[in-house]
Amino acid sequence: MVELGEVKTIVVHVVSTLLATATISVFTWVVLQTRFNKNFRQAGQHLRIAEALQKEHQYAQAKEECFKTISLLNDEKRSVLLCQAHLRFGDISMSLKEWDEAVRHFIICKEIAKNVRHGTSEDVILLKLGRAYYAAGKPEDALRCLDDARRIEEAISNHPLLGETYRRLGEIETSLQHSEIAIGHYSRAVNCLEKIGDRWTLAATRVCLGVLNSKLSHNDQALNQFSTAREMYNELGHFPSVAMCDDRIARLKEARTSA
Amino acid sequence: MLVSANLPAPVASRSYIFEARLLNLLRDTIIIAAKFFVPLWSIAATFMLPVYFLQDLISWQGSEVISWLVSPFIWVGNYFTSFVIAGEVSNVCLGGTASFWKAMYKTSIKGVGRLLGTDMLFFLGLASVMIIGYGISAVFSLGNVGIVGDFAVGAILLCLTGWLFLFTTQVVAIERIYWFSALKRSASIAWKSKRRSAAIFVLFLLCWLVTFIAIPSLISKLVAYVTGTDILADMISSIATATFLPVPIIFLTLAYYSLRRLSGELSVDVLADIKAYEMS
Repeated sequence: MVELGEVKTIVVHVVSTLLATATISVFTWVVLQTRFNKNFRQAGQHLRIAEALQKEHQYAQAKEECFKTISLLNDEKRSVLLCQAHLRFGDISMSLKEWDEAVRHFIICKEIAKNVRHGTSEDVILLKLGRAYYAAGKPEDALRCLDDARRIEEAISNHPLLGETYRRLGEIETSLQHSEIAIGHYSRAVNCLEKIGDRWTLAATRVCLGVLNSKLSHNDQALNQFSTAREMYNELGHFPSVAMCDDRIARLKEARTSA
Repeated sequence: MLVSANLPAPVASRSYIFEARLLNLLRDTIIIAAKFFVPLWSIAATFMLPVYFLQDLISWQGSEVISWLVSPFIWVGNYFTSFVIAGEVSNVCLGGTASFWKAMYKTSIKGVGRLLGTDMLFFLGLASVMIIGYGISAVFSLGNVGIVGDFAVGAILLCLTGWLFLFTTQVVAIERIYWFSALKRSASIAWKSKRRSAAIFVLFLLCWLVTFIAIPSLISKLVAYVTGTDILADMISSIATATFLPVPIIFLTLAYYSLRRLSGELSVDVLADIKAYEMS
């Protein structure tokens, strides 16, 4: 007869073995899932090098690294890493002012992201694509992309990139001579950016608002925007911008007295 | 885990980086922990439960020494969990989603290894601070205060280093900065808003004590009292520990974003970069 103590020992041994196997399996699975594939591993390394080079402003070399990443992942059309590589390539192209190249990579990234689970957020890609289109001299396409990005971001309360999207929309509407619409976008951008506390972008947006208001002869609003921007630049210690704001304020005051 | 795989990933209908009040951070911690319970618990359970159960079974068998051998695995599992959960919660904070499969895809052994290495440096630093502290105390005869005094010196030094390096996991997982740079960065975040970060540290300790020690021990004692079985009590306590494990990590990640925002470090470019390259 097997004693109760022996049964207990056997059960414990069996369960312990199973748990030890489960532990090892989980860790092995993570290794297999993420970094076992040689191409995937190498591609990841090249992408990380590209990121480091981009941070060091060595864009030409960063581009080469991105190219290597993409070549290694050519067979995997639905890879998140490939999507990130194209996004990085697009960003680097933007830094190199190769706008058409940037547009091409962002479009590829957007297409891949559609087919992958948990890829890069669509609104981020659309925002980048919109900026690239605008820089490439295609404001209508840019407007379409940014409007799509805005719709996605507005569905999420306090989306951190909504301010930037509004700001870019304002920029495009300004270039299309739609000053009133641009003022609306910039005002919404100011509200969003104030929450984030990005003082540089906020000051720049207020300057844009000041310029547009002065163009439409809304001198009081323009004065108010330039004064606030001046204070912000002063706090940030960027004195050329303070001087620029002072100059604008002086001109507006002059216009008001002469009127 | 299979359940979480079939469920659509819960979507954050808001972003969580705009809260400044500490009580609101606690409120958001509870909201995120409840709303994203399935993916976050799945991550914690995947990495922690097998090792916890193994330790429970071994200690039940009476092999205390062998059960201590499981501790390094628990330690490594804990790093995996913190690293992966911090990344997922960061995405939730920025209005994204948390998903078990996304987290598994993102998990890199190298990343966790770097976090482990960075924290080893932290422990080395902590040990040096303790040795220096006790050394100074002994040399200047400040140590004649008995065991209570020694404990107080140790606790103060522990809290000081713990406070400065509070955000190491977040820095490694979100900013992808490692080794000394990560420790320096965490200290810089804490130092920039001393009072607020000290208050966050105290709340984190409380949060950790309640969710990691008090609740699991209470549950364990209750189960042991009701069933009279130690192994069952230990296992249920392990499940409770894994269940509440994400809570302090969520709180710290929220606090990390709050401190960065309040010190004016969160620009739209930085946010766009974090959101865009979340998966790399």
